[in-house]
Amino acid sequence: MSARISLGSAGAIAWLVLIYLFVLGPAAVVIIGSFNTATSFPSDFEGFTFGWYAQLGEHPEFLDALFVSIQIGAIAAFVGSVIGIPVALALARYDFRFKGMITAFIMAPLILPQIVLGMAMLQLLTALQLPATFLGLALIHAVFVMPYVVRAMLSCLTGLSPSVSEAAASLGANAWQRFLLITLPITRAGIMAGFIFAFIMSFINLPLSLFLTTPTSTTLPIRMFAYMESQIDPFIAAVGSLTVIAVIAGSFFIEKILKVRLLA
Amino acid sequence: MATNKTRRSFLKTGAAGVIGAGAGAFAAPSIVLGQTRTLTISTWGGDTEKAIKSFVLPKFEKEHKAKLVFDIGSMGARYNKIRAQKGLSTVDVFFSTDEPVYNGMRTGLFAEVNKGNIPNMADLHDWATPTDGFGVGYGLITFGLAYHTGLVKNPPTKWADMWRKDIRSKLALPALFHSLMPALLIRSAELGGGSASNLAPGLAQLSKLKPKKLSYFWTAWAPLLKSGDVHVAADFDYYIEGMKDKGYPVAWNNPTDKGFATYQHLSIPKASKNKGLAEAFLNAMLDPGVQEAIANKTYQGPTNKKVKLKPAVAARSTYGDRLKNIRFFDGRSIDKKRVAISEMLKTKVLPNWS
Amino acid sequence: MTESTAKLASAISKPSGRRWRRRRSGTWGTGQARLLLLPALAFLTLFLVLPLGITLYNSFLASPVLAKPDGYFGAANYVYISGTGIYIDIIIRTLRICAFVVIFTILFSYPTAFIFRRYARLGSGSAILILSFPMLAGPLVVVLGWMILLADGGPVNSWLMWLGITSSPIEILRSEAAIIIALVQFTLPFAVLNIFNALSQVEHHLIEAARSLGASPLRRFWHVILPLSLPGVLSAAVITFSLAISSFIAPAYLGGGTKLVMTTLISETILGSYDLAMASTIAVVLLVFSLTVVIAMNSALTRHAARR
Repeated sequence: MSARISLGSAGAIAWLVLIYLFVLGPAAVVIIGSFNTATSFPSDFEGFTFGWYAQLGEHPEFLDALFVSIQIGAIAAFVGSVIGIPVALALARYDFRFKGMITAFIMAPLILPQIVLGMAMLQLLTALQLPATFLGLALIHAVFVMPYVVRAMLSCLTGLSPSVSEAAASLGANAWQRFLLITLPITRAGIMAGFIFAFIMSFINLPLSLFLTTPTSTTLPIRMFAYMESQIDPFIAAVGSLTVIAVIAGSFFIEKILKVRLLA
Repeated sequence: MATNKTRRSFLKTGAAGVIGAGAGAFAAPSIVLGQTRTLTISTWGGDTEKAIKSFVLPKFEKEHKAKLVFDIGSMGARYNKIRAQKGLSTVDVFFSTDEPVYNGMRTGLFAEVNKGNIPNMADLHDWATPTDGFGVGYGLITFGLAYHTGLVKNPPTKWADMWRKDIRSKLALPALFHSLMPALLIRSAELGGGSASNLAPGLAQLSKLKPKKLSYFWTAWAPLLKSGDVHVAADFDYYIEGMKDKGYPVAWNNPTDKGFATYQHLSIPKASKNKGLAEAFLNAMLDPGVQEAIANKTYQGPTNKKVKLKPAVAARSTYGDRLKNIRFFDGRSIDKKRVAISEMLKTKVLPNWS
Repeated sequence: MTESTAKLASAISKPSGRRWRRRRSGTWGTGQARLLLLPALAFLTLFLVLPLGITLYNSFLASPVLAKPDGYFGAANYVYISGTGIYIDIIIRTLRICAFVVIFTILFSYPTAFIFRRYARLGSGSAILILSFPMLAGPLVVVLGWMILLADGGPVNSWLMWLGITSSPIEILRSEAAIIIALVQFTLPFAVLNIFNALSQVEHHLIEAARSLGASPLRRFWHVILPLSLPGVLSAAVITFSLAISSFIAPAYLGGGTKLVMTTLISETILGSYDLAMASTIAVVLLVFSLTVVIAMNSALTRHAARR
């Protein structure tokens, strides 16, 4: 029924084509550029090569940075989930005083000018006589990705009727059992979506890391930004494209092979 | 069934994340602890870092049984880091232009170097130590005028050419807070009948320009040069020489009324716990062989008198004859006025540009 | 279903005004809710409140621009900003850009989400996922793509000229339009996802009921679907606004360096003049403006939810 093809759907398809062109266009330009044999970027297309991707082998610092970013993204998304999921449960299930203020507070990281907070964080660490560390960077990333976890989880929980959980409670399940056996499985799409969004928002973040990186915690965006100060060539396009290609492959794997829907 | 499978895979993903994260968090410090001596170099990631790694690092690490690690980023970010961290900063050697060094000297951030540990300092040009013992210049570059060789029929040869009708709306200029902006304002003031102490005519002059792009690095305006949006750019000689090697249709002129000399500078923060080793590193950066290799690769002019560049490289670097036609500004007095100058540019010039 | 939509709305935003205004008496929540919120609140206090406090403190130190005596502590930076034209211009520009981004993003994302919802069986999950792929390349790379596309001599201008819309290239880069275009592209997937979720919660039997009562598709949309999905639209507007006002890379690269917005002004002030006091002041101003807008949007959302 939903697949009814009509004249109206021709308009819909045309609209979608335009939207996809608009959203994917600029990234496509960069991906195409990453296969160009020209030595500068952007350039007219001179010939096809995988050479810029092979250059990653000569730039171990980019692989290090990629690894750092994956680790920081994973810690941030994990910590953000561990802390954010209970928040979403509280907001969806309970009414309590100052709920509005607390909600605004928890969502606040979304609107903050991160470059200033990164700087303030460094000042705070210095005041506490603590050095900037890998874990510190990951934890401040966690603060900023937590709202994505809360939002994803909330949109999932609101569709969930509390009656199932109440029924389980009447059958003698305790709170942990109810969470592990009922809430968690039912909301896994929301948890996955939240984790993935959180990971991505950490993975691509530049301003938050600007003042907090150390020799052992240089993230990929910081590395790319630094490279782009002195060079702009298809290599940097290849680095950017690689993440897109890796994630496309990764999400295809998750969706089609593991049969998990990333976004319900 | 499907639920079972997916839950397991979700848990697996989560577990992998935690284990990876935990391992990473603890692996990081152990890298540092595993070495006897670690020297932290704060520098631009990219060409400079690559040059250090290729021309200095192998020999230095072997000779001093030390390990070099790199804290990379833009100069402003890195300088702010050591400023905020003060005594906790782990940076041992700080790469920058001379500009933040004056600021850091004023606020007691940098240490005076012990010349006895840096024998190569004896071979430097007179002009190579602008900061009186607070570090040393390892390279010299010139800020001048670059132009598109295909689109500019009549290349700019002097600073006043920026105001030419065919150029003034096709310009790429340094960003308001770029370290060379005070120098450009002073020169503009002079062209408008003012001076370093009477900058108002300079503000009026600059307001007449219609720049297409303000940026910190050539990479931000290079795509616009290619697309023909930008015809002329005020930028450093060594950037443009690098662009030529990459096939950009670009050339660079040292203005007849003198390009602006700028140092590539090394300093040692007071907080450094490896000052002796850091001085050894400074010495290595001043080695004639290293400086020649860096010039060959990046066209930064050497500060060591003993360096003899090949003619092909000499002609493209701040070296030889070019040294006679460059202008050194008084960094110390500019540093004191810098914030005021930036604010003037922001309030008086920017409104006419945006 | 309306109820749960409203619940979503109030969950994401502020709950009803009545509860909000209730006098404080006793504890602020049930034991369980408190337990669930405690880790987050502790975490945010450490990593958000303390740094924010430092930022606020910094903003009361004198900026070197003002040449105040050593040890000054007061509101001089705020007074200076509010009396200096270019700062006001930059604040207005920031808000104007955000307003345009919100409007265009919603205009583009609503029909997109609607189509995805209507043809849900055709795999809209993956379809939405694909929309968010460019994000993964990182804003740096995507902005580079826009620089190529929007240049005077770039493809977009060639197409416009080929279509006869303009005879000479339009200067898109270096204009606010370039920033708006890039930000709409960046925020669109977030908005589509939000609206799609809201549309998914409009129960099918309500639409069927309207159909059986003889309502035309247009009337069904106007009287049933649109009002029920409005909370989703508002929630999409909130996240779009938040992402737009805190964005940094797109304005830095596409504004030509002359079209400063508040985030780029902040970064230039720190990175170029090392003036943390002024940068913190602008950050606090930015925060006040964005919180005001977000709270206004949220209360609209709540009022809407309360009416139903």
